Amino acid sequence: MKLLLYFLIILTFSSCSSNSLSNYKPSEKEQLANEITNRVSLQLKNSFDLKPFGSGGQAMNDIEMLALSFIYNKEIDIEDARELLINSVDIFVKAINEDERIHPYLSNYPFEPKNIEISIYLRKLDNSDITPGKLLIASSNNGILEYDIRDPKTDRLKSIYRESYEEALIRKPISWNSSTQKIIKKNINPAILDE
Amino acid sequence: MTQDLSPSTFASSKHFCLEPEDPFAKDIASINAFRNSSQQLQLYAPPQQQNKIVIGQYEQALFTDKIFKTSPSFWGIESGLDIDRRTEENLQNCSTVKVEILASPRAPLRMSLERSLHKIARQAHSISSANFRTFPSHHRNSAVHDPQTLCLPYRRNAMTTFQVPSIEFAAAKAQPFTIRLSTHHQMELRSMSEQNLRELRAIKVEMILSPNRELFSGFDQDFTTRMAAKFFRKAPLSSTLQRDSSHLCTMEEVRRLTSGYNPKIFISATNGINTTEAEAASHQLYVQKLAGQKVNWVYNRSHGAILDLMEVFTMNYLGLSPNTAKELRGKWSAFHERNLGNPNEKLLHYCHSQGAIHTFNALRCCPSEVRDRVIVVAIAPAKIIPREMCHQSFNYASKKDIVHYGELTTAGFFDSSETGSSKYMEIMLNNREQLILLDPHPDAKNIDHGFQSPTFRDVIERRLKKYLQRGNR
Repeated sequence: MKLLLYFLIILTFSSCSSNSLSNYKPSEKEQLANEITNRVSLQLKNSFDLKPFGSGGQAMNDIEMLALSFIYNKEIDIEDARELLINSVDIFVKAINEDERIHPYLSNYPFEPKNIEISIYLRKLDNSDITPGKLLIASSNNGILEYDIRDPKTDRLKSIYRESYEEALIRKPISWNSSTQKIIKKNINPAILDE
Repeated sequence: MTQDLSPSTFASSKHFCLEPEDPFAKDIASINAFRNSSQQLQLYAPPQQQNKIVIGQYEQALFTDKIFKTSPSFWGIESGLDIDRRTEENLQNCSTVKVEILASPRAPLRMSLERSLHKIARQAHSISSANFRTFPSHHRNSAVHDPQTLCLPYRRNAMTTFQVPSIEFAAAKAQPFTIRLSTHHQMELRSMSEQNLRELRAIKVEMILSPNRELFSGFDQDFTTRMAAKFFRKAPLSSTLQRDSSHLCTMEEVRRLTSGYNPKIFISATNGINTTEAEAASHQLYVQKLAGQKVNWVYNRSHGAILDLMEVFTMNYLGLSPNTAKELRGKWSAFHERNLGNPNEKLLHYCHSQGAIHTFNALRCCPSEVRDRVIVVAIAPAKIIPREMCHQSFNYASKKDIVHYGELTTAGFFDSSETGSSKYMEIMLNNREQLILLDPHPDAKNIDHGFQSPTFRDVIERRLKKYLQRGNR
């Protein structure tokens, strides 16, 4: 009886406040960002067998960063991970820059790899965890590519290698048709090219 | 310097908060003392300061016949388990442990306590038996029928009080302990008869933490939650927590936690439905262990699965989260105030399941400058946190999970349209585009909705790592 009463009281109050449902309306910016991230995640899934599982971003004012996370069911090394990352970032950047509708909402145009966050979580074929000590996460965040393992001693994530997107491009040029490479090469540090 | 922290002070200043309002407040007034004490999950003694902490104080009012009839050994087993779960390392962090037992004025209390005193005295070489203030003087001549058993006399209309040892650990700090106080006390408590339990007025356990030390204890978590569960005539809670020692930290972890403290870093979190305090504490420590930092866990109180679900569909999805959202807003605003001069300082917030709805509702009511401080990581969210609502947001859910469909149900039920999709439904559908589902981990259980599911471990840890890298810059 008490439960029923509680339910009725709550229902009464909640029905009075149903206007609050419409208090939040996603902006066109949010809708466009969702549309593009979904399109890109599908494209990356089809192209590289990257399984999307999470999205995010930074877009309180302008769109400053868009993020996608993927699972990749294969044990790979840094070389392969680098290739996956730079191609994924490139496709993401290209998709954003090619969609004119979203340009007014971008914090900077053209959108650059530093505005993209791609995280690739590696798993075995059966979706179980990668053996500690082997490459577990490859990510591109704020223009920095980072490769993490699970430290067998501490059982914690540990970065084993970091490089800038520009450095990664030199080591592994984009294999995907791209326009981003041009943007990057404009800003590239000549010192890196000399190495 | 010794500072006595009352439960209320503690609740407001430490890492574990209960919702201030409770629809059953009147009914459970008598167990508030238990609940307050149960907030002391992770205790941290600031440098140059000692904190006197009452770990448990159990009042007679709850020892009703009903409870003991349903579970005759309830008290002994529960309290024994809890004490037993303290690690030996925890004792090293205590400068004083005092156990005070208040017997009922009605009858003598028989307890075999002396044995433990002698054992402790023998094993802790640095502590002489002279340090034991065993019993008040008027008990000195009490009839001790058996050297292993203490029989306390009683005085009518007066409560009998004695202190089972007040042990000064300070002298032993320099050397490792070999005593196992917890085991002995567990034995003693378990050896209490049901009759003794009925005569017990209260047990009060105090620990004084050494400066700059941390105590991790599941001391009375299960006890209080089980007591509350029985009070509400609910089924006994899952016993898995009794076997799970994951909420206890090793000394190494304690060191890591205390040494890596960075005031610029702020991690908050809130749980979903049907989560007991002990489970929330377990989640808190799970994140805390990964982070090596304090986690401010705002406990989203559970009233059981059914009531919680009613709350979700009739209040939370409609934008009402009076208690938890208020608590979250308070914590975020305080962080914002502390960092007014530095807009780049951000806080990381984890939300799980229903906690995501509370987070959404809290964000919606926050000014933009506070929202711009918050990085949200929503794990198996019941509501998607849009990226334009806060500084950054990330949503993760498993393919097996069904909880995220909840908001669609609500949208359809409360704001339906006969001619097409309602405005609210369209909003929901658009937000849901941010949710990309993850293949479950092979070890994931049931619908893969748990906060500590292996599916989400890497994600939680990586987000923490990124945040800490940012905070330590």
